[in-house]
Amino acid sequence: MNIYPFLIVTLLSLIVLASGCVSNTNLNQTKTYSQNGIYFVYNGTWENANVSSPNAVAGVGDPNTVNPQTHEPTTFILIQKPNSTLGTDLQTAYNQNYATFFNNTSNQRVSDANITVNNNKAFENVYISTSGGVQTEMRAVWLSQNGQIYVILCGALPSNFENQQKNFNLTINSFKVQ
Amino acid sequence: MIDIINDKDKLIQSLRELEFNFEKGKISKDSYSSQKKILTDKIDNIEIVNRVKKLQGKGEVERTLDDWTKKKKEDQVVQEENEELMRKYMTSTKTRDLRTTKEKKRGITRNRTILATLLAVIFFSGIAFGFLLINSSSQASAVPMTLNQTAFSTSNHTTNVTNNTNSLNTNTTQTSQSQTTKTNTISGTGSGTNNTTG
Repeated sequence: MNIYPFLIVTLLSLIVLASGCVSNTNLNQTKTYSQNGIYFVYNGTWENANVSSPNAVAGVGDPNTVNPQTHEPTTFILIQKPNSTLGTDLQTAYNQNYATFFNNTSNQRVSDANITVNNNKAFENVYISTSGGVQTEMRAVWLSQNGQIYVILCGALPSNFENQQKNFNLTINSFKVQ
Repeated sequence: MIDIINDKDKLIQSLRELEFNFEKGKISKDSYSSQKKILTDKIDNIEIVNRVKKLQGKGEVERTLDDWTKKKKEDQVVQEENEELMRKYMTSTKTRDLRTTKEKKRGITRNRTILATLLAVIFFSGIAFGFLLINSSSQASAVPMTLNQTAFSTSNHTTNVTNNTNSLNTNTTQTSQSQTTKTNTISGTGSGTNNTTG
């Protein structure tokens, strides 16, 4: 009995089925957020999140990392606009915030740097936050646009933090105040 | 073969005439003996040839010319019939070949149709499978997400995306109250200064 036709059909089936699977992992898809006076681009597989953080403007997260009990994603990007920094420059606001931030032992400093975002001066603070026994590595980018200071807080599990940098950079570099 | 038969008859006739002439005294005994011997040898040779032919299955050599003519005509008729039958047979063979070729082509076409249908089914199944995965992914995304992380060191008031910063004065006031409450708490416990919300 000739088995080659069956092998060919099986192979073609696997190829077609695999193509269907590949189409679902298109990481090049992106979404845009344009509300509350800000605009940014984020990963196409992520979704908007309900934000209860202080002075939060917007939040997006990876739905595949949501804790079913707390509904909190471990991979997320949160945009905050601190009201308390109105009238102060970016450097001052940044220094004031982190002057006491690491007194809380649940926050461990990793790095602190001056960066440039779209030719604008910005500050970046990377730290590990522990909450409920779960560690989350944070990358907080402080930048000022149109006289307003915004903080783009990017978080992920430490094991996944480096892998998410491209998603974080996508949002940080596309962030604009409308 | 026809010449052989005629020769045999002629030889027999010649032998009879020779005997008749010898009885009449027209030829000498020596001449009669020599000519008879020649004729008899020739007749014997012809008979030997006939026997050999009979042994070889070709014994009808003694037929007359008319027989051979009739047989030839019969053979021609038979041959024509055979040729006609052959033509018919050859035609039917060609037709049979054509039918076989058509059946083979139909079989190949049927196999190709089945294969194409199968591939189409597999293709659309793959697409459906992909859409199923996409839908399952979007269903996963339908899970409500809540963010309560903060980048700030002090606990400010809590606002949502839907109702933020339209009333800055109110927010500022609330912040002041919150910070005051926070200071009291810290002084009361005597512990570290900052707590993050959530």
